[in-house]
This record gives sequence, C-alpha cells and structure tokens, in this order.
Amino acid sequence: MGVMDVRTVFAAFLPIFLLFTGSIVHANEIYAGSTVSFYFENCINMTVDILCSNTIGDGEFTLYPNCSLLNSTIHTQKWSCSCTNKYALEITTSPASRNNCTFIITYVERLLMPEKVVEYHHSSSDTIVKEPELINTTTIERVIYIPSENYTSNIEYLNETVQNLSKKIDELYNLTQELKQTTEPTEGGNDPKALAIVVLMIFILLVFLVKSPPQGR
Amino acid sequence: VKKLATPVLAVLLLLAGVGFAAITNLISNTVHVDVQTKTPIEIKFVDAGPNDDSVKVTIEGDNAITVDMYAGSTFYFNYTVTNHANNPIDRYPVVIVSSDKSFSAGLQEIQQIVYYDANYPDGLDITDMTYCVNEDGILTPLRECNTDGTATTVELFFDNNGDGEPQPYTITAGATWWYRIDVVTNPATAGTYTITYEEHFTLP
Repeated sequence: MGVMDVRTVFAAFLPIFLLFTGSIVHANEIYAGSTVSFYFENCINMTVDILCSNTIGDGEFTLYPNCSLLNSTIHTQKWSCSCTNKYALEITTSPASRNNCTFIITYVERLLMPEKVVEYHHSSSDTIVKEPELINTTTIERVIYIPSENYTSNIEYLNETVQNLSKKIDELYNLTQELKQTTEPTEGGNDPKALAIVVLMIFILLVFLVKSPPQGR
Repeated sequence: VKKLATPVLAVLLLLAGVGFAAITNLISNTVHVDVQTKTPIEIKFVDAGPNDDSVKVTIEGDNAITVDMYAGSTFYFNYTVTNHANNPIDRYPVVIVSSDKSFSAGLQEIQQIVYYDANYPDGLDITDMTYCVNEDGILTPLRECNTDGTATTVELFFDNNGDGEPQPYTITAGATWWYRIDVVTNPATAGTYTITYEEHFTLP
C-alpha cells in the first residue's frame, strides 16, 4: 500500500472518527438536591433548554434568579432568565430527581469596549492619518481600531523600507554622476582631436573642388 | 470584467466591514452541560446485633436487616445517613417492618423502642412517639395502629414532637449522622422479621 493509499484511507475515515468522538458525551454526575452554578461576566438575555431522558417531575428543576418557566413537556423544559452582567445562574435539582439531562444555556453577551476608530482626512495632495482617537459613531469614514503594537510594527517596517529605498536612490544617484562625468567630454564636442580631424576633412574637400577642371565645355 | 472586479471587491469589503462593525458588540453564546442526577442520601446499616444465642441479626445490603430471634429478646441496629448534596435536605425517615406472621392490633410485638443519636447518646424511649403510616399518609399512634390481624408489613415513623403530623428532619449539606435503634420484643410473640429503612426527602 503506497503513501497515497494510506492518506486516502485516513481521509475517508477522518469524518467518521470525528463524528464518533463528537458524539461521546461525558455526563457530570451530581447528587440530586444539589445546586450547580454558572457564572456569566456579561449577559443581557438568556434561555435555558433542559432535555431529559426520563420524565421531568414537578419542581424537579429550579432556576434562579429572575428565571421563569416558559413551557414544559414530558422530557423538556424551556426557561427564560433576565440576566445582567456578573450573573450567576443557579440550577437546583429536586432531591427526588433521577434523571439524565442536558442543559443548553444560550445567552447574549454584550461586550463593553470603547470604540476607537481612525479618522482619515483626504485632500487633493495628500492623505493624513491621525492618531487613533475616540470619536462618535456618526463619523462617515471609519475603520476598526488596530492596537498600537501593530502600528508600531508597521511604522518600523515602513521606516526600514524608506531607508532601503533612500539607500537605493543614493546609489543610483552616485552611479548617474559617475556616468555623467565619463560622458561629459564627448557630449560637449570640445575634443581637440575630433575638431582637428573635421577641419582637415573640410580642407581636403575644398582643395579637391578647386583643383578639379570644369567638365562639359 | 477586470475593470469591474476591483471596485466590486472594494464595495463588498466595505459592506463586510460595516456589517462586522455593527454586530461586534453583541455575541450569542451557547453552553452545553450534561448532568446525571443520583440519589443524594446514602443510608447504610453499619452494625446490628447482638448476634448471640437468642438473636441473630444479618445486614442485607445497605438498608435492610433480617432478625431471627427468640421472643422477648432485644436487638439493635446502627445506621448512618449521609447527605451528599450541597444543599440541606428535609428527610422523612421510615422503618418498614415485615414479618412472616401477621401483626397483632396495636403492634404488641414491639414492647419498647429506644432511640440514640449524637444528641441522645444515653437513649430516648420513643415508643409513644412512634406512629404507623397509613396508606393515605395519616399517622396513627403505635398502639392504635389498624393492624387487623392480617397485615404482615407496617411502616413506622418517629414523630418527635408527638403532634401526629409528619415533620421533616433536616440534614445539612455534606453531613453524616449516625443513629441507633434498640427494639425490645414482647415475650408473647416469635418469628422472623425483615426491617427496611427508607427516607423520603424534599428540599427545605
């Protein structure tokens, strides 16, 4: 069996393996009559669904505080809790409870963090990026605040890039100057030897024209 | 197409950014907890006797004993109760006595019951505070139990305030308490008895 065959078999069984491992439920055993607590740092709304394998008896579960039973069936209960920040949900079971249940706690969490945005000012010639500051939400153009560490690293990277570019420009400038110095004499036309050759050629041409007899008479 | 791709992408990114910014502050989460409940009260017979020539007491499991004795003998059993829950629990303990023969009216087979616990290490005669529990839950004093000569099982409750109303015995969270019951039998009766201890409980 080749390497590809092993990979193929592994790939085929991986979803089955994940499905199998995902279906394993490790139930927490608690003594009936006990209270289990769940703490929520930020919470504005909560519903609790209780699903049990055995019949849910009257008063088998009590949820506290600010919780009310919305509906119940033989095997399910749905509770609603008016939670607040730093909310501790307490679920108390009846001492007579003999059940195997799943609590599904769904809650909405409000993250209270200041909204920092970066404000851009556009002009025809340039774009100025201001320092991050707290502005109101009516700002037309805004982006998610990036922590200062990222700015620092970005600025360092940009500085390094600018320095490299400046170095390249300096090198190109020096090279240009060298080439300019090399080619300046020929471009200027002040070479005495060339001038002498040109003058000599004109002189020879004039002598040839003068000494030649007219033809056709 | 290439000319349109860049502005379309920019617009999509802008919309995605605006949408993300709008929902950043509210996050919906779900917590799954699987819980299996089991009985919070553990009852255990830890000792019984005296297991001499006149009385043979055998512990059957954690909450039952069998007594084989000569009439007129005294036997005892010692048991513990543990509350494993993290809340106090109101207990209604009952003792169920079964016999291979029918009980007499007023349960004359039982001459005296003496109760011991941490508060009564020297014992307390509770014969007159012991009640039969009828099928409707009403308590009847021991000597007035309606055992018409055919009943082979009786359920007894210790009503320590003697008002005939069942009151709970609250055990604190995590506590283990011990009890001992001494039973003096009447010489006029004989037989084999099975004594089962049960507790019914609720939250306070």
